[in-house]
Amino acid sequence: MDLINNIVLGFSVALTPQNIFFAFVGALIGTIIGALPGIGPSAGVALLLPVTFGMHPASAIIMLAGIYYGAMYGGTITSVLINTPGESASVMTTLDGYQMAAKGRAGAALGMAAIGSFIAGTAGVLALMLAAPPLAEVAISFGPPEYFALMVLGLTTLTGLTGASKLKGLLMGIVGLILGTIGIDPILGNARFTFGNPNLADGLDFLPVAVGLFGIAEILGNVDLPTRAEPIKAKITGLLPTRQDWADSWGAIGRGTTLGFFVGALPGAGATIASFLAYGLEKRISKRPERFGTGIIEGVAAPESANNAAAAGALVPLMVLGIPGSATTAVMLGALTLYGLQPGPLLMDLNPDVFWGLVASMYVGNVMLLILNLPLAPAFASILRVPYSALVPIIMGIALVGVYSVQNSTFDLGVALAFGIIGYALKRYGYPSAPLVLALVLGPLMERAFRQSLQMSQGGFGIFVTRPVTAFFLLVALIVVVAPLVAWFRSRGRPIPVPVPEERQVAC
Amino acid sequence: MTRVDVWIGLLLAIACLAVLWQATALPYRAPTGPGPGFFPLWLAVIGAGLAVLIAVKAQRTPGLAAGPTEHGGRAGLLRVALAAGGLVVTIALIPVLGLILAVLAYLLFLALAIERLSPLVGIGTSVGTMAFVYVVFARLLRVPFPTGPLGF
Amino acid sequence: MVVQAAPGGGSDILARTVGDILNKERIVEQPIAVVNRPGGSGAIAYAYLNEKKGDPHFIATVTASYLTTAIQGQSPVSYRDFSNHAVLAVDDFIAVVRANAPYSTLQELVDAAKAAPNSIRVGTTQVGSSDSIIELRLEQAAGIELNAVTFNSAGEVNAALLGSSVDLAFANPGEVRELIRARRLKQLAVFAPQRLAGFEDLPTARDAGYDVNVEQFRGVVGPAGLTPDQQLYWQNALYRMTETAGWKDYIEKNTLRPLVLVGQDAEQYIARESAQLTEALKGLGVAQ
Repeated sequence: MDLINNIVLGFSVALTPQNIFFAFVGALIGTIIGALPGIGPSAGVALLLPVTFGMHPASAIIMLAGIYYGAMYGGTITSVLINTPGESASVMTTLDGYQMAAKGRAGAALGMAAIGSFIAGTAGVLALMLAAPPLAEVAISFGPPEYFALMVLGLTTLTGLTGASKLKGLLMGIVGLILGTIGIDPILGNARFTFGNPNLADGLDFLPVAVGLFGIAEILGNVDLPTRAEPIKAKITGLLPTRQDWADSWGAIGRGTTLGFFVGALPGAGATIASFLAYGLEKRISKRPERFGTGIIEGVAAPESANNAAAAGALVPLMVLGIPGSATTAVMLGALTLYGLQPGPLLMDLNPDVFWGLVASMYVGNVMLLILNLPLAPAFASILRVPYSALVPIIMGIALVGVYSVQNSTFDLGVALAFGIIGYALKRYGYPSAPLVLALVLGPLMERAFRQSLQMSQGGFGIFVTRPVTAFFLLVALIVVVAPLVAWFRSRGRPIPVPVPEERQVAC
Repeated sequence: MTRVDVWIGLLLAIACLAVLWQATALPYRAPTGPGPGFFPLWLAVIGAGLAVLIAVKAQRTPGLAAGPTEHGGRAGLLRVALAAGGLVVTIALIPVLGLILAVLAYLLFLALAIERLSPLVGIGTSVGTMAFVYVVFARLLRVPFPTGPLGF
Repeated sequence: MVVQAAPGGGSDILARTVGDILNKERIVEQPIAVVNRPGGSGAIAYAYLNEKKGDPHFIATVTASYLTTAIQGQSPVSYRDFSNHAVLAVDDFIAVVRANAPYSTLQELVDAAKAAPNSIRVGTTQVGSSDSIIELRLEQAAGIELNAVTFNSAGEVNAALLGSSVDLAFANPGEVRELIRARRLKQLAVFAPQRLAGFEDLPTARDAGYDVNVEQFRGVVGPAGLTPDQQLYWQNALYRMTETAGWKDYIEKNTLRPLVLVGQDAEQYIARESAQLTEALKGLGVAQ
């Protein structure tokens, strides 16, 4: 059979000692790049591009892919350990990952993230291998109205991310959306809220805002404490996931993988949105939704599986159609061209060694990531035995240089500082930062899709209900918003139910 | 919700109104569909509404639920202000000292003066971090940093 | 060498290729370091370069945004504030539709658009970009109305075209060549003065009777205030660079059209482009 021949061909390419080595180097570099804020997956791939010149195209693309999915995993490490996402797809991981670390369970969080990523990556590659061409057709059939509906669905889950007060979370989401409108208008090119400053023309960059709101705010909060903070108070228990963790995570990994792969395959959507939707979904269907954000393992497993599956999914339109679906795959497209390949529908036929070699190497790379990261999880986790004060210079130094490196801009350092102070204030008065950051990422995408849809329909809103997929997503979003309201109205007028004691404990 | 929320709500409401005012200067409609002003305008309206709601709710039920997390009072606030102010100075000094030196100076300030680490730990972590960062970013990834008098 | 885009984009790869060849072929002895200054459609990079007046150690790669950003009033400095060393190549644009589209020539497309105004959706990148200018010019030349949908990048436009969200796009040959070869897309016409190498059977828009000719140049500039010797040095170096095998290889792989102009010729070309773009952007209503 063709497929089997192809797989054999793929592994014969991927399993040469030389290509195994490149997959390993790629995964290792990727993990480091992902862990350091600043150089994200796309810039990491771009900066290391020149290194690959002169290599065989298959080896080169294998190494670049290794960097890509290594970076997807690496972003987790700093999210869990120091509450600072290394790249945008890891924001969701901070919510429960850092809380787990605070309870002394950083090892379990990192371990589960590594396992979840491995399962998701492997399943993603399997899907890429078996179903890439039909999937690519489905992905491109998503037009602006479908994207808009997907973003709306995503934003409705914001209400679930709010911690103590729904109202506060909602307001933070709106603030994020407003901040997301800063910059040159995506359709007409008017400058919005830039105050004539060219640094604001492209809007607020995600990373300085996230490093400010999470990392710097955390440091300022620590500086505020009267005594030197001790090492994370809880004893560091269980360096690896327990049996209970497994039982809790299986479903989340499965759903996160499926969702992540499909969302990743959509051009322009990507890993961030995948991780976001996966977390929202998990919380929505969980038996214990109120405990999300307090450090539970599903809250780490779901987004981490989703973002790694999305990295595999993003290769679908790239390899099948030669259309980049994300910033990183756009760089890889440029790389393929430089190697003398012609990315497009014919790549699979004309250069089967490259396509199938890449696919096979991703299995190899995923195994490497697991081997690399599972033993390291306890090692990283034990960093938290060091008093937080001693970590402060380390975190601050890496954060500042990382922020500078995104665009070689001191302006971004100012942005990070401003959001650090804002984040400190928000934390102090119980306003959640996560909805703000996510709305900042999703808002511009949603606005553009909304306006593109209306361009397509010449201003008619019918386009949102006549397309079945769009209508379905919007209907689900409506249900998600309306159902709790209905329940709330019904419960009014009745005596307030006596809270179950267990609930009282956790709902603080 | 606490008394502070009343002020935060009002502050954010005013900020939203400022956005609203700015947004009215942008075209609300484009040749087809909504224009650049459409989203900011409605977001500002919703935001202002929510902010007022928070202020009102906080006014009615002061002291309900846990408010601020633990913090170090006046002295703590002073330390936060110093840490943030130090960063402002640092950013201003980058063109003069170069990125590495300026950030290193800030880390030393943070470690020794604010966190009051022992000199050995403070200097060790600060210098170690910057050396690591320099090697990874400037040498391996060849990010061009602004350089200072010492050539890095 | 200053690049107006983030690492990894077309502009960045071009800059790194130029720098690489200049060093490797020992045309320039001093090592060339690439500095990315993305943001503001190039405004940040141009402002940065403008601070280096009289310093011959800085060069920057530029493309159409070098002119359009200033014309749209988003950058206080324009091409007159720099030494325009050389034009290296141009990107052309071809009109593409899905392979199953009911039209196979530009004329048939125009007829369909005349029969039902606004029925044909065209995907373009941001208003003011080269493809949006083609859309406007074609509408004017043919007296038709197209329904423009604005996307963020050429990749998204191509995905939307394949996925039937739009019906027509104006793309660089390199981006769609493979999709054409795989019979997913059809090419209707090229908006160039003559037929392209490698696309000999593709008629120009002028052949079809619509004189629309839009190209996007790629060039290298330096700060103002250089001595004539310093300017000559860079003009020579860049000219020699375009003669190398490495450069020709790059041009071919990326389906660029070689157009090498240095010194006075480059200045004139850029001034002419700027005048044309100003007029086009006024037509789009986005010029300041």
